[in-house]
Amino acid sequence: MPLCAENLAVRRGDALIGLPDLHLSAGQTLALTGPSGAGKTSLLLCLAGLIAPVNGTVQLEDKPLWPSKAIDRARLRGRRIGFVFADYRLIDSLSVMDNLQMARASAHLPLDVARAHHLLDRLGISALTHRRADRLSQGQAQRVALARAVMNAPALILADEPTAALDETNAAAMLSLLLDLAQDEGTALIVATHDARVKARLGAVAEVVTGALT
Amino acid sequence: MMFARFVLAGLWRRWGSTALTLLIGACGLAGLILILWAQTALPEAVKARISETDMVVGPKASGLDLSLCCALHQTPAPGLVSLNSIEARLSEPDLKPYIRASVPIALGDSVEGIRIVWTRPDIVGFYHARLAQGHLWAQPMQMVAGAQAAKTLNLRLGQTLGSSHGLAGEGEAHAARYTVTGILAPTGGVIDHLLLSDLGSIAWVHAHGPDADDHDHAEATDGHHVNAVLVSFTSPVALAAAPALINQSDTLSAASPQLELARLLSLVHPVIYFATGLFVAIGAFGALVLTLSLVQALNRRARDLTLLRFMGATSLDLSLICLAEALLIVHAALVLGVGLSLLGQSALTHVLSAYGLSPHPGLPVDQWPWLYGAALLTACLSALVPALRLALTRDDEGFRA
Repeated sequence: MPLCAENLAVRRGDALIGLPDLHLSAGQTLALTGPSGAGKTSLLLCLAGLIAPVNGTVQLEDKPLWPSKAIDRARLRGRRIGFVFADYRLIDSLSVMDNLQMARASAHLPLDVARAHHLLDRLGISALTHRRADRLSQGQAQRVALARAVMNAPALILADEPTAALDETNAAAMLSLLLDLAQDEGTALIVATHDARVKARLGAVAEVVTGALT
Repeated sequence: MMFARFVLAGLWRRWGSTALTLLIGACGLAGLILILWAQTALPEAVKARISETDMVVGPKASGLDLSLCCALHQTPAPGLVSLNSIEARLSEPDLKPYIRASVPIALGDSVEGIRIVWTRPDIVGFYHARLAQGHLWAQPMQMVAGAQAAKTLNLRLGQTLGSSHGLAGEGEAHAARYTVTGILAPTGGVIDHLLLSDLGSIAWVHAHGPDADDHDHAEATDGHHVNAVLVSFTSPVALAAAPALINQSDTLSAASPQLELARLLSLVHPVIYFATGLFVAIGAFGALVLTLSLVQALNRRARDLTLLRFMGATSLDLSLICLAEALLIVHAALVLGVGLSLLGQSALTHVLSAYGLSPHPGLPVDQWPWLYGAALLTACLSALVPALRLALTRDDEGFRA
C-alpha cells in the first residue's frame, strides 16, 4: 500500500489539524479539502515528511515516514514522493532537462536522460528540453513541474492547490494532465484543494478537521 | 554533476557580484605573488648584473657611490684616481693573494645615453663575455658593443658613431667618431649594456679632437688616471678583508657592490613589509566579500535550496553546495591572480630592463603550499556561515504559508 496514515494530527499555531485515517492504494486519487487557511498545506507537508505530527503515524510503501530518522525521511521523500507546488517552483537558472535531473540528483539517484525525454514527450514539451526555466510560459512551466514530480517514478504524488492560479480552462487541462500521469505511472495522488470542480474529478475526499489545542 | 551545474548556473546568474568577488580575491593574490617574486627575483637580478665584480677600487667616495657608478653603471663617475696607485696597492702582499683579476675603467661619455667604458681588452674575459661578431679593438677609437647596447643602437660592424659628454645622451657632442669592430654575445650581465673602447680613446676624444676640452675627466687623457679598477677575488673570504684594507688609505676607497646593494635593498624592507600587509589585507577583504556574497546567494536562492531539500537533498548536501561555490570562486581567483601576477611581473621586467636589470618572471613555487592552503582555508571559512545556516534550517522552512 503506497500510503497509510493513522490518527494523524499536526500543530498549526494554536490549532490542531487532524485527518481521517488514510489508506491509499496505487493509482487511487484523493482530494484533501477544507477552506483556505484550514491547514491543508501543513498536512501535505506532514505526509511528505517535512512537518512532524504531534500524533499519529505515516507509512509509505510499508516504510515508516513518521516516526523515522531525518535522513531516512529525506531519502524516502526524494525517491518515493513527487510534489506539485501551486507556483511550480522550478529552478529558474537551470534548463528544463536540468530541472528534471535535479530531482534525481537531490534524491541521490543516477541521472536518467531517457526517462526525462520520455516524460517531456508524454507532456508534449520535448522542444523545450534545453530552454531555461525562467523563459517558459506559465502553461509550459506547469507541465515541466508535472514531469519533475514523476521523474523519480514516485509511489505518491502530492499536489498543493495546483489549479489555484489558473483560469477554468487551464485548471481543467492541468488536472487532466495530473490525473492521466498518475494513472499512467500507477501512482497514488493526493490533491489539496478547496475547488469543488477538482474534488469532483478525484476518487475520494478527505476533509481537514481543525480543533483547538488543549 | 547536477549540483556543479546548479552552482555554476547560480554564479552566472549573479555575475556582477561573482566578478567583483573574483577580482578582489585575484588582486590580493596577484599582489602577494608579485611581492614574493620581487623579494627574490630583484636581488637576484641585481646580483646577476654585478656578479663578476667583487670589489670596486676608486677615489675617496662612498661605497654606494662607487658601486652604483662603476658596478651597476647607473650614476656619474665619482672622480679620478691614479691607476698606478691602485695597481701598486693591489699588488702588495696583504692583498695580492685575494686578487684573481682586475681591470681599470674610465667613464664619462655616452652614445644616446648608453655608457662608454674606456678600458683594456681583458674586461671581456673579466665578465666572461665572448665576441659574437668581429674582433676586439686594436687601437683607440675602435669600439666593441655589448649585446643589448648593439641591439638598442642598431649597430653593425664597421659603423661609425659619435659620442657626447655625460650619461644623459644630451651632453656636448664630440667630433671624433668611433668605429664598431666587434659585438659581444649576450651574458645577462652589465656588460651587455655597455660600449667598450680603449683607454687611449679618451685622448683622441678630449685632446686630439677639435673640441679639446676641460671636462672633469680630461685628466684621464694621459691614460694613467681612471675612475676605478674592478676586481674579482680568488675567494669569498676576501669580501670581508680586502675592502677594509684598502679603505685605510688616504686616497683610495674600496667597496663590495654585493654588500653595498644588499644594504641598499635592506632599506626597502619596510616598504616590502607594508606592501605585503596591504595585499594580505586586500586578500582578507576578498574573503569577507566572498562570505557576504555567499550569504547573499543563500538568501537569493533560499527558494531553490528549499526545493532541493524537499527533493531529498540533506543539509550536508546543501552545505557542500555552498562550499563548492566558495571553492570554485577561490580557485578561479587563484588562476586569475596567477595570470595577473605574471602580467605584473612582465610589466615590471619591462620597466627594469631600462635599468639593465632582467629579473626572470616565474611563480614562487616554494611558497605555493601555504599560499594554496591559505586560499582553501579562506574558501572554507567563507562557506562556514552560510553552511551553518543551511544546516540549522528546519526542513519545512520555506514551505509554510
